[in-house]
Amino acid sequence: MESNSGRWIGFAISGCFLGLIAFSVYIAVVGPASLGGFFSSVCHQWADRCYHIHDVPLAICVRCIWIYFGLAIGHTLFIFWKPGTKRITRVLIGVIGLMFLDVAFELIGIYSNWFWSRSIIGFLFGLSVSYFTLLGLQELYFKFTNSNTDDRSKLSTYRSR
Amino acid sequence: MTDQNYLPTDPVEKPDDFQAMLIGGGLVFILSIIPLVNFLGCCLVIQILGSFLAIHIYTNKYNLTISPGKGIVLGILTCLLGGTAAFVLTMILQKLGLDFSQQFMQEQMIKMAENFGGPEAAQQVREEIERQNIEGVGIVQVVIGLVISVIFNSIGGLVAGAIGAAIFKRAPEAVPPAPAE
Repeated sequence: MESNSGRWIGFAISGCFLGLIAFSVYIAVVGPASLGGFFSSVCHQWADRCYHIHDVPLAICVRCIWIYFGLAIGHTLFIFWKPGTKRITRVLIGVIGLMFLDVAFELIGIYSNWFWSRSIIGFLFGLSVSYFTLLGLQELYFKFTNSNTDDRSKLSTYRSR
Repeated sequence: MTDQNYLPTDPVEKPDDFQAMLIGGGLVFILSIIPLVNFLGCCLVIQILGSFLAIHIYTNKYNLTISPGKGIVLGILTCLLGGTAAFVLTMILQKLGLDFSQQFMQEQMIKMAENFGGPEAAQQVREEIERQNIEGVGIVQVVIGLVISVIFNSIGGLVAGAIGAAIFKRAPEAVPPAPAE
């Protein structure tokens, strides 16, 4: 089991990503239109690739929403479930490959603007990445707070699997 | 024996990540300032590419497998270096009236406002842009822009650093010790 501080890092990061999703919904529903530029540096925000609420597109695209959602779920999930680094690395590489294929299939014209593929791949990408970000953030936390060796040894066992 | 024999020596070269960070940050910087290329950046692609390059160079040069924590630090610093430099240069170019991508960006903002809030919102944004063009970029806009840039470059660096550390493993696999008889 994680130490309490290790858990709180996961919950806090999950909260941040859920907050970003909520903020994009807020911009679409009640926020001033000029706030739409908040996400412009990280997302193309093309309206036809975004979910709509009352015909107003959200401030981030479908893939970004699901990546954030995957990151939010993953940071909480991997506090309690530790599937092993090697297995998750394989999943991550597979998902990155699928993402390239998804983009390539759209470019070739096999299908166009398919929300399902982008949602599932985005979610899996966020989920698998969150395992490593949680691991890294916990490691940094233990390093900077000079936590006890018990916490550190748990982390290294967890990493080596 | 001379005194030199007693001097402490470091038998192994200490890995220096600054060069890798600089090259990765350079890529983030270039991709962020080239007009039109910076608008193609979606889902943190620019930050991910820059951090991957930095981690690839660092692990390749020293034959290392880095921990996720080290990857995150390298990723975040790379993105902050490149992203902040790009932001500062963009601000300077805007101040001098040399930012060629600004007009395109403003057109996109009007289009986005039209999508988000209809013609009235678009008109509001148009008026706001005209007012800003007359007044120039204020300190408040610079600070808000810088904060947004720092937030998203940090998120990009966090994600890319963690992935990079998992993918770029250069150190030879450790041979498990033989079980005791």
